[in-house]
Amino acid sequence: MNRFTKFKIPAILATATMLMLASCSDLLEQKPPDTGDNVLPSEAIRTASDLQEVLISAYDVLANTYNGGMQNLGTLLTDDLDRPFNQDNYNEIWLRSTSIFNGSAGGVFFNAYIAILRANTVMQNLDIPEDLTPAERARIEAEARFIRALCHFDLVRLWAQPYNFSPNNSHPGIAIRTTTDVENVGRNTVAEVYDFILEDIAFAKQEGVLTPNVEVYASQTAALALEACVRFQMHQYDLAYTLADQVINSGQVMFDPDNVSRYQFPEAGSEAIFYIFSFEFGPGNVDSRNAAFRGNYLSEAPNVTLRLSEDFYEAATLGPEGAPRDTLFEEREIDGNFFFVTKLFNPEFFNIPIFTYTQMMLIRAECAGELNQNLDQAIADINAIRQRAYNSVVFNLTSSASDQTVINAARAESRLENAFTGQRLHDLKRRGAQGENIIIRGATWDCPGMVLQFPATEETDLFPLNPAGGC
Amino acid sequence: MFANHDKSLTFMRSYAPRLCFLFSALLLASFAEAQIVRGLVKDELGSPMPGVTVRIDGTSIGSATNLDGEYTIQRAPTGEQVLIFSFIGYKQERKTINVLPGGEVEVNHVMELDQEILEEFVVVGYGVQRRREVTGAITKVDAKKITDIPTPSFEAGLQGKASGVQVTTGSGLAGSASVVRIRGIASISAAGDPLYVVDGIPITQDFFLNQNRGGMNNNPLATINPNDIESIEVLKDAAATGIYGSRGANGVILITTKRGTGTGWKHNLETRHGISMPTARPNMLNSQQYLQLRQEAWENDGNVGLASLPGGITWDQARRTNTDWVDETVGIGLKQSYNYSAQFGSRNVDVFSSIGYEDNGSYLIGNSYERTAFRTNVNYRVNKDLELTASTSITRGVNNRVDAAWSGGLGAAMSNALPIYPITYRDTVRNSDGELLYLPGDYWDQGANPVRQRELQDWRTTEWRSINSISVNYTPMKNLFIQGYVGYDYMDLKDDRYLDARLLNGQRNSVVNSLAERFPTWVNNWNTNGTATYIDDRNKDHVLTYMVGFEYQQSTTRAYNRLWRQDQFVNSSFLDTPGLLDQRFQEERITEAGDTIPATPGVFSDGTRSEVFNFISTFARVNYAMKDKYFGQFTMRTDGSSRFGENNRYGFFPSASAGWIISEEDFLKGSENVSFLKLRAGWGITGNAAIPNYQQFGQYELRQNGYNGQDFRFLAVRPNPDIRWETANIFDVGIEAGFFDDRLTTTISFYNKNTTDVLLNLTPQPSTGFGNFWDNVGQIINRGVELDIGAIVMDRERVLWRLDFNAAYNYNEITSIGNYTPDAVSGGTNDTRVVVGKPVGTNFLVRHVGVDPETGRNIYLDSDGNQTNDWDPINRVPVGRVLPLAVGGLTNTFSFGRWEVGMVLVYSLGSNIYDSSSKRQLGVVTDWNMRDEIFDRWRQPGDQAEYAQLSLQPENFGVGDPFQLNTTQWLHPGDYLRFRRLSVSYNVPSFKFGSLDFDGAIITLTAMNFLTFTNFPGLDPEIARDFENPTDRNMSPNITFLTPPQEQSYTISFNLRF
Repeated sequence: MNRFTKFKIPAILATATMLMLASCSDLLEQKPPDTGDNVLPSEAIRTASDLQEVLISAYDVLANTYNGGMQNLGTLLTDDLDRPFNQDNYNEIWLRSTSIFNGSAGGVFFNAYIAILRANTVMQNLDIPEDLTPAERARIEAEARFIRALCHFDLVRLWAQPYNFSPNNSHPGIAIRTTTDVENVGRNTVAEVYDFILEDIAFAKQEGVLTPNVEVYASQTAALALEACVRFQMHQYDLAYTLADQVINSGQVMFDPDNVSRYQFPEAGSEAIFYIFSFEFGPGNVDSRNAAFRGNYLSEAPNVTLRLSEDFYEAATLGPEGAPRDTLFEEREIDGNFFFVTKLFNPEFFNIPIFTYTQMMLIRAECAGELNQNLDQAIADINAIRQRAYNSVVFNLTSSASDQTVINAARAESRLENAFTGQRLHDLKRRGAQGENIIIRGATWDCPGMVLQFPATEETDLFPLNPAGGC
Repeated sequence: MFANHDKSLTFMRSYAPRLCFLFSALLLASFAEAQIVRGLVKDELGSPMPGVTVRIDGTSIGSATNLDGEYTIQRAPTGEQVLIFSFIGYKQERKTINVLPGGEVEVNHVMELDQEILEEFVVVGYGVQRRREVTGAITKVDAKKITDIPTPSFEAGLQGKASGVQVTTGSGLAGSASVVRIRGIASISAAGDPLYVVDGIPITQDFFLNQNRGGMNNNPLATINPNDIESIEVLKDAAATGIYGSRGANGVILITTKRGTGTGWKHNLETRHGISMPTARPNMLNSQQYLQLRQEAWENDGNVGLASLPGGITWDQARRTNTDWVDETVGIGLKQSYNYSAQFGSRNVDVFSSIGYEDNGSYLIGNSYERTAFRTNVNYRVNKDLELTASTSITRGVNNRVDAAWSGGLGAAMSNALPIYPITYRDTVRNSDGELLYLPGDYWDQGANPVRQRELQDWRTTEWRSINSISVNYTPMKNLFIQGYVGYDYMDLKDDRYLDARLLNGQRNSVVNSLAERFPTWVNNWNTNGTATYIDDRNKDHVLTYMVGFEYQQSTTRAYNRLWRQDQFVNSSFLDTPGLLDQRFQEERITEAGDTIPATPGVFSDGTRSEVFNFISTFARVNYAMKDKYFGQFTMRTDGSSRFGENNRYGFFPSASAGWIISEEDFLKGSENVSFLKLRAGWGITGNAAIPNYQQFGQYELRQNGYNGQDFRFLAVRPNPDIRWETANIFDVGIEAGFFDDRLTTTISFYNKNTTDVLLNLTPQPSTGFGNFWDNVGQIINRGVELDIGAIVMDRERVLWRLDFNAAYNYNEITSIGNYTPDAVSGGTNDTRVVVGKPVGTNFLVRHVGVDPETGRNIYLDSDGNQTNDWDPINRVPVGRVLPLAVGGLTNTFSFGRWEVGMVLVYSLGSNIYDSSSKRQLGVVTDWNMRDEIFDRWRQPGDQAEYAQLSLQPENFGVGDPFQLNTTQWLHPGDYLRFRRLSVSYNVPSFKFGSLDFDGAIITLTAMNFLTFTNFPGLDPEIARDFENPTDRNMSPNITFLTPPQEQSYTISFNLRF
């Protein structure tokens, strides 16, 4: 063995190796096999149908966000519920001390942003499918924007102080997300978030882009209803009135005089404007998108987690025993301990309206009161709702009811008609931001704990958490 | 161990199985004449030598020498014959004799040591090496040590037997997986397990193929039959693992299965029977105690009247019920195993074949792991230049599952199955409308009922596994060896569960159907490699061995996320009707090959998953031996993998090492005291490539049956073209020494491992909409020292006492996690984090200093050390460590004539255990049962109590959600010393039974885990929880959350050789 051989062999081997491997690079391009459910980004969206599937994915996660999960977060902060029975993270929210590890709050927060991510994925890929017609392109974009707006709206209402909490709404809101990038961003102001929401709605509500027909997907009517809620929250009662009125008169939805419950199945009912739909694959085989409602409120459950406050129960059962609304609630007793439950969520399957005709009536009514205009219409709306609730005219407003009476009646009915949707919290905060002295279970409407805390990893140098400490 | 000498020979001889061919002699007896060949065989020292095989060439006629070294061959064929003498460790020799009809021939013989064979060989990557030439850190564990106790899986048998190898046995669940860590842990989110290589193939070793279903991860190692294993080599440093390149960083475990050896047939039959029970039982409250404490909490909260009870139970019902759920879920497990193996050796063909059945019942009622295993290994020497080797194994592992931990079963008995809950209804129950809901005897279903959960579901995980290989060894010229190898590892894993309709809804007016579900996974793992080795020994003082090789591996995984159907076959189950589930799925044409969803409603697929990854590698090794005392080794490997990003397509992994046998130097040669002394040192770079597939490309997932029944697709993984392996820079230095003719041997090693580019599965801002993403950002240091001592303490005529001790100290520290916060990566139950300056898996907790004697409230410390009653996550600090500082074992073997007593102690020092279940078992009074330590609670001012005043309101503990209450109150020392094994065996010498001759038998009584010394106040200090993912597995061992304790077992085994 000469010295040359001794020292050069490794070098030759290494060179040969590199040469050999250079020819193997193609082999290493292992892409997901055709048989699986994984596909590369470059192959994922080629046709209009692929893009539609991405849009469906946004609806899919939206349905798992609004299965009661989003709604319960708001309700827990109100005076409608007693202390949750299971002492878990719902208890923490109810105690107004949501921590960075609260699984329920964190889960809904994340899901809402997944829906936003998927909507953004749709919007970033609108130029790719060659078979996408302009009309379809506009429709898909409008639906994506509707979903994005809806999620940002509920997120900013729960994770930030309300609109008009500060002058110019410069107080911190949430992160506006418009891309599919994994990058840290800071908190936008509440004003920026609302502007962004309205921009998306403006696209979605354009004439001829979305169908006005109410179906399981977003519609123009739904976009209008969403904007009515946004304007209402912004104290823009004139615009809210107009929008609610537009929805009511659209002919797409109708007052349902027979059903006090909005949660119906298999059809969503005539009042539902946009709803989370549970699909029936076959007899009895339904992808129930109602878990967070039914799982927590089921009145027959041995440990009903979410129990009504006595105050709410009294208000809800004010009318004659056996009246339609009265039948939705129940008082139970074990060993001398009384508690109050709702039977609204007892059916095994039901669809979940996000906006309803009745909700629009009550927005219109309250706005009328606030504006002191069209009180006749407002009184008629409230009376229609009360007659349905009590099967009687005894509780009707008189035709000469004052604007304040109308406002009070609309708020009282909203608490009961929109019960457990979170609307109560947003209404109370809206009124607080308007200057009313609102105390909820002993705490002021704007104390730190009335705002949910962000998940731990949302915090960065750019993104301060909400004040801790609860209230 | 290191040198050749007669003591070790004696040792070997006493253990070597005796060989015998009487059955063939009997076969020939009918036509052979009565010629006799007899004689005496002695060893090289002149002592009679028992057990030597003496055979007549070309026939199967032969015999073995008895204890006096004498042999007799009856009915030898006449004429010129060749007599062959053979014994392991000695040269096989041939003697020509002439046998006359009816005659008797006496042939005496002296056996000669075979120096080459006697050298201990160890398996290294792509070859074997003489132990003395090895320049890396390798620990060899032989077959006997692996099977000395009944473990859920073979890797658990390594515990305490190899220094630097930390084995935490899986929980008491049957078939559960151990956590094996070699020289600490250098990974955070990528799997930190060593690479397992069985007979040359890196096997499928994903512990998360079945995710964490039912409180258990599937153990892909459980199907390997421990009785088939000849030896396990643990490669620890870069000199040893460098040849495995991007997959060697966490160590390599080479498993070599048995081969046919010797001459003729040898048979081995082993049976084992035993019982098992938990090492500890949870001390939960009974009904009366629970009611008392709940009422106390209720009144403490300012309430009057009777406390409200969970489960819709009235006090009257509660008082009449006292269910001991631990009794209902824990019993005595039964174990049985039967293994038969046959070995055949001849000039051209060696065969090893085995068949085994094991039913390893755990102490959890209804839980057992059954393994039926078959293996055949064949070596065929075509001629002196060509040898073919083929191995095949087919195993069926059936895990009869029960829920555990968070999922129920014993976990429920320790948590939300309250003693006030009945198993069944006593009375008829109707609803307010008068509808019949329950009849007496129906399972109670208003809260946790582990009996109902177990009885109304059938759950079985079936794994078919086949590991196969073929290799061709060709020697075209002297000193050149070429090997071609193909390996194939197939896994068919089905997790089948049938849920009775009554489990889904127990009410009699319910119309809910039963549910059958299946989670099937198939893995095809191919590996092929070729090596060429050339030994340049022209100059005997400078021998160079060159090896070059290439390797290609491809693994394809295909799985259904779930197949399920709802049906009305309430009264039947698939366990009672074999194949029923298959039949039901087949009816709907969902087959293993089909991917479409049938139009018929009722059967659904939740989508499929299909993944493939590959590695393309070349490697080379050069060994240099100078005068048989200076050794050098250089290895290099280049790995390309589909898992690596396009910007980092290939990794290069070199290692260099050297060894110096000082005892061969003149100044030590012939030393009376030092019989062997070697210094070795090595450096190298290795990697860890356990990156999930497709991170480089990014990924969309396609799903069916989404919103409105529509198909959908979504962006799940962002592309990362920079993703690459973790890089470990390892330095190791070791001294191996033997004293007093190797009666005392010792090895001491020091190592330093710096790992960079550590893969983190990071949680970005949730508002990105992405759950996690992978990036190479961390750095970790592991450094430590290992010590092995082997000693023959006593060696008298009939008494031998051997002692083996090992200890390993490991220091572990995360030195960087990039710009991320500790919360960016988390372990299981929110209790461990990555903190720079702390070890992997640091408990990150709020400090608890005690209970205020005046108020009965918990006192915590804020981040500045001030006392507070409020628990706030901002006050969490890094405390405790889940990794032990030191682990090891002590094995004593005493032989008294034919008796042998073996004792294995294992220990673990310097770790903490976080008892996460205590948050609710000893904290806020909830719908969980509590442990009886809670009686030491605060009741009135002045009380010095361990636990705070009882309350149903978490805010009285300073927290809103009892589950968040992670504090140092539940952090305990995790040190323990455990009697892992105590066994007593009796060696029966060769004997006759009727006309059958037996080489011997061993009867062994074994007690496992029968005594543990620990300060840990919970159930068992050895904890490997069910894990959610590899991050959790790296960061949260030693975190217990309703984890079933280890089992102790008592077994009797019987081994028969013939």
